[in-house]
Amino acid sequence: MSETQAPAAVAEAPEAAPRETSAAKILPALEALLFSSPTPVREKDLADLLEATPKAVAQALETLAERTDLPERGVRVEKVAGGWRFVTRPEFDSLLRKFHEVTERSRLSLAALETLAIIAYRQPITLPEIQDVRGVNSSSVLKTLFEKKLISTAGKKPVVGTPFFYRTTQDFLVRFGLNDLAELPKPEDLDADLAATVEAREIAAVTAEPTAIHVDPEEESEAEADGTSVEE
Amino acid sequence: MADEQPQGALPPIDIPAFSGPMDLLLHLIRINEVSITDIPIFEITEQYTAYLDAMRELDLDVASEYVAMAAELIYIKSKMLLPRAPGQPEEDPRADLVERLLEYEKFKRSAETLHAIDTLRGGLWARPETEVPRAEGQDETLEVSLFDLIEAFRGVSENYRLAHPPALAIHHLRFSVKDKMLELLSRLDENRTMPLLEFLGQMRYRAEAVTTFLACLELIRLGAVRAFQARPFAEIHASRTEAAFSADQIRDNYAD
Repeated sequence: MSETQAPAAVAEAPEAAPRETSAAKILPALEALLFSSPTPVREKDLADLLEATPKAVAQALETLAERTDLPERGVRVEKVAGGWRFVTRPEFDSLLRKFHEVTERSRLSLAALETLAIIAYRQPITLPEIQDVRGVNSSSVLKTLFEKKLISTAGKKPVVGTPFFYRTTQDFLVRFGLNDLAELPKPEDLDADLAATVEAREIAAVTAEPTAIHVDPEEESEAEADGTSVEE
Repeated sequence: MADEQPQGALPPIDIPAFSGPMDLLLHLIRINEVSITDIPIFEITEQYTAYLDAMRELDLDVASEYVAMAAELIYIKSKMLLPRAPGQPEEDPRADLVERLLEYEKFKRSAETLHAIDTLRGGLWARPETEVPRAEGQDETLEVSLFDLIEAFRGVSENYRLAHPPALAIHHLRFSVKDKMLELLSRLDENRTMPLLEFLGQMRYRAEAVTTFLACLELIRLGAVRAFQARPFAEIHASRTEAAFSADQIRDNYAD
């Protein structure tokens, strides 16, 4: 029914038929498949469709990635959400926006990102539990995330009121460039506790000249972004 | 530390968008350059309430959660002022709040990371979801979420509602003897006497007239009202008797 990743075939590939082992032979077909798909295609689906061995597919993908991830190319393949897809290079964003007449990309608010982070790390999680952490009503934020298809329900918690469990979706992985949830930046890495940084800052302020106490909050977040490099 | 600032002077207030009371609290902790684990609760509480006042002054809607946090801060402050009973275990009244703040801070950092990633990846374009051209009659399989289904159903029911405006609504009429007793009594207390048949004749509904008549009989039985007639088939007048009777006796003893 809901086999959207690879709409055709898959099931009836006869197990006995010898599979193609040459990466070079399947590469053009594989490229065509990825080019045509709006969602990342899993390696297994590629192998089944192309009647090739997983190894051949992996090699072909590697070759394709090498050949496309070059400054002289406009698109490259990326591995995301458990599959592969073509994406444009980031430097063409403004050009593409002009072409498609998109002035501003849809942004997630601070509240939405906070809620999304809580769901991502704690899933499955219910609305009351989210609100406990945020200390603020979060139902409208949840609705936004829902509409953007970044979260979905995942059954109900067997407690009083049986609230819905929420979890992140495939679209979430794609949007944030994660292969799976295990790739979420570890909370420990982010755990550089504010208290510790403030203390360090104070020591620095005492030892250095007395005026330089101000630390730009921008600097911190950018440092974090670098640490969790997304494009590999 | 804080003693660089003159006594009593609050930092200049600007109102960035806070995502909630925890966010505001963290902001204050950050600009005061103090540690989460050792919050100077007096200064922070003062500044926090000053922010709320400023928000109100700007006609920003101060959500109840912000007020709840102010109450919590003041509660902690009062607890810290109270002397500890000797022999009681030392317990920091701020401990619970600190724990929640640390937890929240962690997610706030993750949110910042997600934001950075989102900004970075926002510039990547992939093939948009488009319909694949198919021959007529070939059914497409769709993956729909619960949300899509709800949205679709909402659309359908909205269309149905628009296409089928409600027919003439007929209300179920219900009159109670109790209500009518109260009504009669208040009219009689005002006018002493009233023409009962004329009053019943003005009623719009048969059921209402019957109920009112029953209510009148009940009042007569209780001795609060009497009925009289000048001659056979003439108007029946109802009047209040001398007996002391209050509406409360009806309210207490009759069901709706």
